[in-house]
Amino acid sequence: MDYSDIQTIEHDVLVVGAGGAGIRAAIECADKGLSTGIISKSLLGKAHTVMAEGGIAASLGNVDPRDNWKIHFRDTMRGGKFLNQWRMAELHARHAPDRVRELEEWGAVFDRTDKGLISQRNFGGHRFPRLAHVGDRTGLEIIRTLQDFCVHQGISTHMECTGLDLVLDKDKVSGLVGYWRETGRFVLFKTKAIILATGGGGKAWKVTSNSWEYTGDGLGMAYRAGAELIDMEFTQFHPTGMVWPPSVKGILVTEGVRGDGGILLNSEGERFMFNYIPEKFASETADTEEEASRWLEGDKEARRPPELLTRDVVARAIKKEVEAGRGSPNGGVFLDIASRRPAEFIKKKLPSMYHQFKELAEIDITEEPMEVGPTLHYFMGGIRVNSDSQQTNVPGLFACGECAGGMHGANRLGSNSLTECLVFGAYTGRSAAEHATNSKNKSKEIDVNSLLLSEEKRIFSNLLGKEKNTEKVSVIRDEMQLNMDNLVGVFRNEEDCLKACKVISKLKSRFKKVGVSDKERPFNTELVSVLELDFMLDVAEAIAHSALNRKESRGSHYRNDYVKRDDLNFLKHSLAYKTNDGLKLKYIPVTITKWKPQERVY
Amino acid sequence: MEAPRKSLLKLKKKQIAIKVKGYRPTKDSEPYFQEYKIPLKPDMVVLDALNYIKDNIDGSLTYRWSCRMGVCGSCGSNVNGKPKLTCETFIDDVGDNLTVEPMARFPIIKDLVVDIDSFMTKLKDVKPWIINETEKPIEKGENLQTPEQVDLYKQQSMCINCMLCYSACPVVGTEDDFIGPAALALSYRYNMDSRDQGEKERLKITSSEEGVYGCSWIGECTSVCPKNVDPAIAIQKLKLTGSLQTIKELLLPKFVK
Amino acid sequence: MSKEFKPYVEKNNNFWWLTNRRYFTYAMREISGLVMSLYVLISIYEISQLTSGSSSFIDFRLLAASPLMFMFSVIALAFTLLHTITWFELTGKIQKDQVPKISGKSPPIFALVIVNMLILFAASYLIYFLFW
Repeated sequence: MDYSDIQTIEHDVLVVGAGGAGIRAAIECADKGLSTGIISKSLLGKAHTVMAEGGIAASLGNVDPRDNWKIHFRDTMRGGKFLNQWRMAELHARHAPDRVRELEEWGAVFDRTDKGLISQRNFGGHRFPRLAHVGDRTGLEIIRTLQDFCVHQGISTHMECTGLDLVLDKDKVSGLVGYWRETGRFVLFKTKAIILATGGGGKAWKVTSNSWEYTGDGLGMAYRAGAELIDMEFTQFHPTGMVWPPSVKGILVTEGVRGDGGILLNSEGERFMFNYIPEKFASETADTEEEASRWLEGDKEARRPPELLTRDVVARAIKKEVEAGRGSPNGGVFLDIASRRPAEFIKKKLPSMYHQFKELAEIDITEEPMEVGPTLHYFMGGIRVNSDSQQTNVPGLFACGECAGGMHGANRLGSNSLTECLVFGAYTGRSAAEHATNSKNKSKEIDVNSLLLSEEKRIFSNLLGKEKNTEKVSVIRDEMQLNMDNLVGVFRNEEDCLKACKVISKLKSRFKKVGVSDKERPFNTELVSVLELDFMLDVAEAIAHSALNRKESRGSHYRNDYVKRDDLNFLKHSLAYKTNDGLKLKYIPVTITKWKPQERVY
Repeated sequence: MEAPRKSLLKLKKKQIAIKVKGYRPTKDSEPYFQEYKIPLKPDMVVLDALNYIKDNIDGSLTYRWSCRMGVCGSCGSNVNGKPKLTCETFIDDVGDNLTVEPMARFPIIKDLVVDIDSFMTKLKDVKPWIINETEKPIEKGENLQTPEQVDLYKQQSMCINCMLCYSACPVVGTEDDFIGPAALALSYRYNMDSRDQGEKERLKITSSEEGVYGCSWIGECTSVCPKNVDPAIAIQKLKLTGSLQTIKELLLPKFVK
Repeated sequence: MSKEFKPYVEKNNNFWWLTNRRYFTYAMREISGLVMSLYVLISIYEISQLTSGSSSFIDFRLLAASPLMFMFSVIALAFTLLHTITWFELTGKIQKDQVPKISGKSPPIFALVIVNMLILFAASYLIYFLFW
């Protein structure tokens, strides 16, 4: 087949992924006058960012003037169990207020205080009310604003185009092979810098809050191109996901419900979180229901309720209650806000939650409690990047947002990820723009034909051309998801992780025999799901191996056989990388910057 | 363990037949119905049915979806003749003769996937961004906006771009140039935003045959909207402000910039 | 991105207005304008007959008393009522945000509809009073 007429699109910078981070990065590049393109797997404005509900964390100090960026930094580090990239956490906290105000300037809707300032709400792990929000649909608003602004800047968006492979010229990035879903044809993007902003890979689990797009595409592409994946074992299980009905199992119930007064109860009606307060947080957490109620009424002397502890603590508590037989009928616990707040308040502050439960589960949250349980929610780990430039070890390859790792350490605080999108989206855009501007030497003409011939063979001849399908993509995918749920979940151990590694290895060999029943090239979603499964298996492999080898418990990675945190042996980052012999792991020490948080800042 | 929904399990069946409209661009000259029989579980939504078919019966069934919780707006289809989000439509509620077709009034690419290029262009045409003379530097803090000011446009800011309103609007079906409910509601949202100064610019675009004057207030867009955006009322209000603006310009051209 | 395969465009269904109740009400609302215009034309004809002499007017009165004309008048009345009710329902929706607020809240739509109807009756009565 002759590929001389293959569509080629040239940009200075190409952003892969049109979520909060991707669009923000593209806006920054376009602002520097560079030709910028975004490719997105789904339609513009429908990225996973729209599902974010709680808010965006920034120390604006509008509701509590005692807040400042140093406390935000401290909270982030405490939440991440000090495994965060210190420099990234510092930049994140320092620049968050500016990025939020900038978004407001671009037209984002926010709930306001009576004086007209951006209102902020409480959230787990944050010392002060820090979350700028609009109802409980902040993510949707952020992406709407970014989308509208992006259109205003005239950035080219190539929708429903899946990134397949990075093209390297002497180990330097020079382009990307993409696949147009609508026509089923390849496209070659020639570019000087690529920013990966493809999000995480939560779809490798069965019970997850993530959407269809989250199949670890960027992680897989980076891994294959030689980049390193950092701290992959740290996968966050959000404590409150819906558990009923089965079709919505895993969908998020925002932490904002707890921030606005919701409490967790077991089947005996007990507020069990009081039994699970870790020593480290004891001085900041209320130890009686009376004190917690006072805090809710606004008493600044009272301490926060234990429902607002960090997500890993709450998720484990819920799981323990369920395993002890004190769970709700469908395997979760009860989240009750009906008995705590009047109906009007709930409908005004949590309208999306109200509608979500009404429409998806026919439950009126102003009258009865919700059933919730842990769900795979976020990847703290991801592609390793330099803290200042956001560049990976592959020159010209950058990453930001959830697919970049290291910022959150061992556990992410709620709402820090929306801020991460804006702060590091902007940073990465700036760096990538600089890199592209300084790339004077044009890379040699990419040999289109041989490149695409191999892609054609890999994808079309092997998959569409095969008459006998011995393996089905849905079967392999379901098996992988079930195994990740059972073996690499909230509670892990040596035996389970080892089994997971073996299962994934078997699935990878079975995957080589997968076929598709849809033989048409145009809009072949079955083929796309095969490509996604390919990426997901690589990501799952990295996670299972990393989890097996970290023999300690830290943050969201909890080992039943190594329950203590082991700073002596494991205050370091795990790195998974590809070799000719498959996946390999190594460790690097945590870089503590000169700037250390003070112990008492208020 | 299973718990029945509050409303009775209306369809007391274990299996259900579902008709899905299929269209394969490489071999079909027009769409046709395909029938599938699937097991019916309590609280199944139409999207679950489509996913079941794709995973177990016919891997080539093609449709869009993403969040499965009614917030991304990807899964719009015609269910039993009505524009709906498949992830939010319980099979119990739509009854026995379940028919799923692509959204009406859009060109069909394949099966339930439709061509939305014209919609994306129309969204762009109404200038959906803050237009003001000078940008405020972020060091000065955020623009102040009271909760009352936010309420003026909050409803129209809820749009998830699901396009069900375009599918429901008969004008969209007959006039290709009609800007349409969602885009016009979006322009209203920016007009009413106290931080924006671009109302006049946008009114020039929307006060036209292709804009608000193409609408004769059928109101179907508002009744199918899953997010209560009420595009119909936004359009009528644009007619009002648009006409007043035109009159002002005719009578007092000197005083109107 | 070129489109190799042209997307399929469904032919327009000219009876879209029969597919649901709201569409049907809308179509009737629009047709009511036609019917009312016809009624006005007949009224204009009536006036012209009135000014053409008593014999032409008597012919007109005979025509007006016929069963066909009676039926048409009933139909026209029904359409006019439909038009009036739907009109005020819609104007109520728009007026809600234009009228001054009472203690911080906009008046409910049905209240505006009733006020509009009352103004209509008052105006109609005034015209009747002035010209009869």
